[in-house]
Amino acid sequence: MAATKIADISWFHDFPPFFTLQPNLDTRRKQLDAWCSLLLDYCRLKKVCTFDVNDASKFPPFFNAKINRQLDNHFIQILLEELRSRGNIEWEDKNKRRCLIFWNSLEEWAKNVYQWITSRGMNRTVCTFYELLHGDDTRSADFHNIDPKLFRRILHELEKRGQATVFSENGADGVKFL
Amino acid sequence: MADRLAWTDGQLHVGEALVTTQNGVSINDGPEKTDYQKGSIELTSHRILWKDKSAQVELTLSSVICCEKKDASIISKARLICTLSRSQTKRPGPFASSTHDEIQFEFRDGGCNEFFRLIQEELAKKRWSVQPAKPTTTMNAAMSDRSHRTGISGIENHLQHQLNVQHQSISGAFQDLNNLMQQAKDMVNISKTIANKIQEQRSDLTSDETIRFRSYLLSLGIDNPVTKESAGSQYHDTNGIMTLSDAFCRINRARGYELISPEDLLNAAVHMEQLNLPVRLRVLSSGIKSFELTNHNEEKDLKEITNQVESAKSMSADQLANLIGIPVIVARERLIAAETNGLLCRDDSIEGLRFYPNLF
Repeated sequence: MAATKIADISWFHDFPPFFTLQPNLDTRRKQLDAWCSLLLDYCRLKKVCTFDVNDASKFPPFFNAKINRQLDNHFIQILLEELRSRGNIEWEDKNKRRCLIFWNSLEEWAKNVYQWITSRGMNRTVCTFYELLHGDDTRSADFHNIDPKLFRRILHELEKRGQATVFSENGADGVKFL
Repeated sequence: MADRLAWTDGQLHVGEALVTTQNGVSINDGPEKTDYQKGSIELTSHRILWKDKSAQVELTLSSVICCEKKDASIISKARLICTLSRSQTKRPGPFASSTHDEIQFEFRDGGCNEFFRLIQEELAKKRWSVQPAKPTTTMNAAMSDRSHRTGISGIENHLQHQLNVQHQSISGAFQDLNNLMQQAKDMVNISKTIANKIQEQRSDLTSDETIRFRSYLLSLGIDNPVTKESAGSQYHDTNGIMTLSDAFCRINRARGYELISPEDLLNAAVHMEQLNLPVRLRVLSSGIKSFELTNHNEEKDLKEITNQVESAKSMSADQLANLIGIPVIVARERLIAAETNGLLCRDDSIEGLRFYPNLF
């Protein structure tokens, strides 16, 4: 992969004030913008689709050993709330411990997946989740190898639009694009 | 009453004025002749002095109750008869005791009338009571005499005496202070002269040395009152802001004497703005009171601080304080002000609070 280090995604990560919540509101807005784009870029790059708050301290963007800085929990909460308000994460539980991460928005995801299917003429065919996520054919698709939970969420969105039907048969999940 | 006569050195005391002199005067103790014949007599504002080759005696006018003239007759020369009071203590004099209430001055060589006229004048003026002449031995003697008395007046006298002693010691102390101030003024003049010379020969000295010399003088408390010129470079180092406590130290150090109190400074500071002075009081966000130049350009100042931070990449309050020579608390205030204006951003870690250029 081209960019593997976080510093390659955003030079801000080596900037110590990046890890302190800025009291000046204008500055803070820009700081949160920078954080959000860094996090989403990182997740896209590493195909990180879920996040558990309990593992926050192990989440690489949240610390930088080189400059000996790390985010405190308060800052992480503010960041997650910011991402949620932008539609980039969705809480999976009421306690707000686990969430899905949409580095593309849900609409974008749905559009992308449906376009990919249509371009392959796979409408009206039935596919299993497994072959779509891990099959050789989808290696070029950006949903290749993403988390099944995220994929199911995308398909549900398509279902809402009347563009897909999700069903379960013999323990295997399948989908039929319309 | 010749026991009122006391030995004297014949010198006029401070505040005492000579009125007249007359030769050929003898002293009689009452009607009896004494050894003091044909001397010269001096009338002063405070005393009658008599002297001949062998002796000098004095009679204080305050002890003279009244004075009469007895014109010359066949058997005697013209004489003055001075009736004396008893209240005086015995001071060392030629006569240990006397049975008479009066003392007579016999004018062998004339001049009695003139002398009589003048002594009447002096007794009427009572100049000795208006301006007591020194030495004060007479006074102290009178005091100790009174202190022997008992009763309320005795206590009052005692208190009065204590007051007098205190007053004397206080005025004595201030006398010393005045001398000190006089000398300090001389020092100031010397230092001014030196400073002027330095200015004239500036080419010989580097500006660094000049500044150092001036700061020495300043730290000795010898300089003109603090002015832009006298404080020199230190004046500008403060970045237009100086805490009241700093200002207090510097002002008093520069004054060296006649110091001002913190309260005076604060009161003065409060009025500065109303008086349209170039300096005004400003309370920093931390609650610290400070002086600020009225023409102080906040924006430019913060820009400069930002430049300092930029060239150093990052900076803590005490680094900035060291760099531009301002108190840490003011430095911190300045950095936060720059942050509020969006020029800087902060890094708050276990290493402390540091400020960076705002790159967001």
